Amino acid sequence: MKSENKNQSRRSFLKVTSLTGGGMMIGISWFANLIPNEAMAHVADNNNWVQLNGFIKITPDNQVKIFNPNPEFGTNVMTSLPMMVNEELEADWSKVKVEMGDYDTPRFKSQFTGGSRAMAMAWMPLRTAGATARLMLMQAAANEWGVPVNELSVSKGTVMHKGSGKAATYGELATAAAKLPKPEKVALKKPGEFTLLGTPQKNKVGKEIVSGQSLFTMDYQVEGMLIAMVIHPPAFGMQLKSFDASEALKMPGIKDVFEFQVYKDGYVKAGFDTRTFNRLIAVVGNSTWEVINARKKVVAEWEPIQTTKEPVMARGGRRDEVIPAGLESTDEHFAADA
Amino acid sequence: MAKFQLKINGKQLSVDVDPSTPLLWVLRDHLHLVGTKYGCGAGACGACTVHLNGNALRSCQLPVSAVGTQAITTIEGIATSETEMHPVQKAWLELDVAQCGYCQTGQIMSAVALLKRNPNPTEAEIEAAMTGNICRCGTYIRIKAAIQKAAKSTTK
Repeated sequence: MKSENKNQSRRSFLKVTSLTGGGMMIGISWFANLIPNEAMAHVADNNNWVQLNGFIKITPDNQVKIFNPNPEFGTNVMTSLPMMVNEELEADWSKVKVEMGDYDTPRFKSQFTGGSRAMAMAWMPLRTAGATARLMLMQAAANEWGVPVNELSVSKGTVMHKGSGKAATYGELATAAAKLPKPEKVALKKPGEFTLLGTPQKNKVGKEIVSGQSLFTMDYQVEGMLIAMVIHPPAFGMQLKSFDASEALKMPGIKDVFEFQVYKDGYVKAGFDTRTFNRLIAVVGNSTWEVINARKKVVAEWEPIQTTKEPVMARGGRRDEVIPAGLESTDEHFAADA
Repeated sequence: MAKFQLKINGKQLSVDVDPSTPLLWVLRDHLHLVGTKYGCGAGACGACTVHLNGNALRSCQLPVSAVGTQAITTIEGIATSETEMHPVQKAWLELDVAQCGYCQTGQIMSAVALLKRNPNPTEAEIEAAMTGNICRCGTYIRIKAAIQKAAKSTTK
């Protein structure tokens, strides 16, 4: 861990932006070294920053939206991660809207659910994001009313000054707050002070789920979108030898059938990356059913791989890994079977 | 390609698709009703459950050409009104059934169809009716409780 990186992370940890039409938006970014996980070392190697798109968005009409950065696989991170933010933000939880953050790997590097790490990885950054937003909103109120910030209190998205009886909602303060400098340091609550964390809360997107409105990856549609499906080899340890797409290309609605590489040349694989079948076939067409049918018409020939050695960035750092010939994926598996 | 007039959630909608296209993909790709989910494509998981004339049916297994004039209802069409949810949806929320939520629209469609033909099912009848709807999060205990709750709320 390099100290200059830590300093950098303290300075640039949060990004605050004014929204068009007023309001504020807080984005968080954090340095990979803050993540207590050796498997993430490759992220630090490639780029000093990990950005998760956990955002707080507050609009002038007092809507508070929290974007969950992690994919929801049923562990209720759509509820628990925004709870972390709101514990410190102190908006009215019953009115807070939660949305899935965008998937943006080039920028965010890791939007990862698994290994029981979601809560631990998000714990400091998300609470800090919430606390920073609250402090800036309070500072905006203090400036407006000409009172010291330590005389202010916050409850359910309203900043109050007891002495004068003044009160303002987060929505009213957000535009001014977004223009303030980011605080260098914010104090986080002690666990004994938590009012939301540690309490049972219902699924924040339950209504969307039961009415069919919640969008999963496959549900996103844009105008003019094409559908693509991938053809994989029948087993691990096989690679593409050749394929004939002439029949598939004659099928209705089919735009293209082509070979592609999963990993770019020179890419160093990480712990969870697939070891073999780098070259696969994509079938692209107008609609899912047309692509499903055309996919069956592609004649692909696969062959066993030869023993290869490749660098892998996994737990314990970078090392060469031998991928044995045959139907195994790594030398580890091979050894276990021997 | 062929034109089909479909009655979906009380509306007449027309699509121009291959007659073999399963109803699931007509709903999702062509009518943008994405609340009906794709799970297995083999009629084995229940994620794509819709109603055909009020009966639960796996939409991935029904070619659009077989629908004819029969009424289709999807998750987008079961609410009591624009402002009021179906009693099954309400029970689902009260008992916080969903986790990831992917299978839940199919679960709800099966549950609604069950209570329509059997307003007061026994535990065994619930299990029999819901056995084709799979939930990877394992929310089965709450699904059963929510169906019992919805049954009570509607048979009072």
